[in-house]
Amino acid sequence: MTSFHLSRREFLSRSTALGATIALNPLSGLLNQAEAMLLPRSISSLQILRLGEAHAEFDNGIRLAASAATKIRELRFNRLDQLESHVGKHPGSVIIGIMNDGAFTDFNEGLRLRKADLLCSGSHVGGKDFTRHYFQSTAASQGIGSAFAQVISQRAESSLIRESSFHEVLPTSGENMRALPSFTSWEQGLGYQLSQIGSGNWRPRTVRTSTLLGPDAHSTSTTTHFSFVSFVARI
Amino acid sequence: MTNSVLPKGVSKEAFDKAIGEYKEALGNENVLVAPEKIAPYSKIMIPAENSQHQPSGALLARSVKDVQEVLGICNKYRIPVWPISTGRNFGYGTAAPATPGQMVLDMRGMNKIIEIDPVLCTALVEPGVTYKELVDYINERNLDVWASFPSSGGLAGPVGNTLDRGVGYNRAGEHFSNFCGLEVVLANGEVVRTGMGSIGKGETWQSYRWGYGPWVDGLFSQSNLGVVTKMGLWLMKKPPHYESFGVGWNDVESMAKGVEMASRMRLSAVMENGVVGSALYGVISTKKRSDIYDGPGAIPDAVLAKYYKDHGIPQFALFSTLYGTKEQVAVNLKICREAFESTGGFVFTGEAFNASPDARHWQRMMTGRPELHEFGNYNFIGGGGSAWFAPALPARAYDVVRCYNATKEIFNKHGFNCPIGFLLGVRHLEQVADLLFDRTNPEETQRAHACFKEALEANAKLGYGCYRTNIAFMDLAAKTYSKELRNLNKRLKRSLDPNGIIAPGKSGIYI
Repeated sequence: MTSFHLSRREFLSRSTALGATIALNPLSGLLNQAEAMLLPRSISSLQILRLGEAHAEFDNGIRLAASAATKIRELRFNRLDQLESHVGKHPGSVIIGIMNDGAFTDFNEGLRLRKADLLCSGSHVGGKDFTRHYFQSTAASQGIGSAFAQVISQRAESSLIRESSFHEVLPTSGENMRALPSFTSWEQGLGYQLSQIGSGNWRPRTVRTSTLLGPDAHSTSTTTHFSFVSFVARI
Repeated sequence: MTNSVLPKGVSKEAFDKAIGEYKEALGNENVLVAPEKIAPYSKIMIPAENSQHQPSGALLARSVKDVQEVLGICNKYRIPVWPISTGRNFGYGTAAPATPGQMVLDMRGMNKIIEIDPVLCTALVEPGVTYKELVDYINERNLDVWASFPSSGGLAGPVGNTLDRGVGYNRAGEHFSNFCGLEVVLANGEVVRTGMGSIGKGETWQSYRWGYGPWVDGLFSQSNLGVVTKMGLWLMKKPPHYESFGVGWNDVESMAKGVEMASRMRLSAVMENGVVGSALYGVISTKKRSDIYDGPGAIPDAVLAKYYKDHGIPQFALFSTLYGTKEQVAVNLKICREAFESTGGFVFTGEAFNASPDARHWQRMMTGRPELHEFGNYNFIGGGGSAWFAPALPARAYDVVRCYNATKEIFNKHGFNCPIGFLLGVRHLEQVADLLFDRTNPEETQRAHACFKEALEANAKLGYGCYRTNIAFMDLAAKTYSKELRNLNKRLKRSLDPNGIIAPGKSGIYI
């Protein structure tokens, strides 16, 4: 795992070079095993969960990445206490969402109660000309920080992106950089990447514990959200 | 896919064998080791790295027998286990263990309300029961009792909250003074019922606390000497009438006099409950920091003072609810009004009380209606950081000013505001300050850690020890207490749990 403080140009060139290095690594024999665990899940639907405020950009990003065959349902709640009980009502579904910190704290309890998988979670804050993002990843989302940094590198603001993993880090295929659409906002790019994870189309990427793009991104925030991808199994 | 953390000193092979045995005992579906299953157990809000508190897995117990079997396997393989009831210890570590590599023993599935006696106002519950389930049970049967619950509303549960010495806000609000009888599984698998539960049918198990001989129940609070699988608790008899009131003050000295007066009111049984908060303690539940200020560091006092003045919020406020007959409540309200006005406070009731969202919140908490109002705290700063700093102090004006000023000065010095509440006991207060910070910012997280450490040490030097702390500071908090006390705890631990399998590090206690 590595830490980078980079300009946008440096980020792009190093990501490509690092990918090539790992592709030639003898560990690549393990890749089939690693990737076999990340095959698309048998999901009945992909749900976008919402509490109160709308996040149209985030939703657009999810739809942009999802295949036409994926059934997407949008679920909207207005009360915090409805969240926890919702988790168990749709077994076989992937639930993707972005919500305020208090709501996610409650939602996380619902996941635990239902033995649901939390494939990825992220804390996102922003202010004038900067954003910060802190992801907790699993094997199903390894390298979300790197992938999201690629999204952010399209934009002019300063960003600090961090990732910590709950698992033994998997060898990567070297394909850290992929062609991405041009996103209108970081929320749209986030929705896009989380949708890839939720639909099982994710390949593990290099875990970077910290990537700072542009000048300092440590200012006081004015907006704050949590994002997540979870999977509620059929019991 | 395996988790990256193994229990300390346990090989991968031994761990895999143990997992096989756990699965045989509990069923495959109740043994969680996949990282995506463990992730919801690992969400912490305190100023610490997740890796320092990452569990190796989770074991879901559904019965006392399950708990016994788990402890047997843990002893065999020397695998530590971190028992949780509902695991909603928000701002203290949630469900995560004090040290990495423990198996979380999740008892949320043991959620039977075994009995409620509406005559004696007692209940007997399992660890997984939440306050919401208890309140729903009471309401569905139209029982004439209220449960007392903490600020985390219905999410938390009575067993975990009581054993961690949490507080609520009605007549039974000091939870550790209102439990009665435990069932405990010891590390060797023996099941012990304390007090009157250890005799025959134990008819007085939930009504007489002390039993015969040494009273051992306290050994299982904030400790790692056993796993509590049943607990009796005392409920509040629903009163025929109640009325809430608030008191506002605009300086810390007057508020401190008011707190001392509240103690006097409690000693004379005029008041039975109360909470005092700085204005910020209320504001953080409903506002965002950026609504008030967008500069760096702590919001300056002058900015806050102007905000409070513009919004008609007193700098400090007390909220209490009086219970009894109409006549009793009227008399007690008159006494309280005169008493608090003598401290320079202004008393508000009726429409003025109901106009305040904060006041309405506290009234609901004091009258059996849990809610998640204080979850709004987590949106004030954002970024997922919250740690409750909680020293206990005597209910004297001198100590209130001293402890408040010391804590606020340290929080401000480190760039944080200090939303403080005082939970009013009879002779003491629990001062709770929510250290809110942004975990996406590593520099701020380090600053929050330094701030918490300094506040804990400074208050201990003043004589105010933390009565409860989060999993990252349990060792440090223990060290502020005497070596002799720590040695006694260690001797008890070695005697009751010689392999050190139950919650190593809880309250800074190890074998």
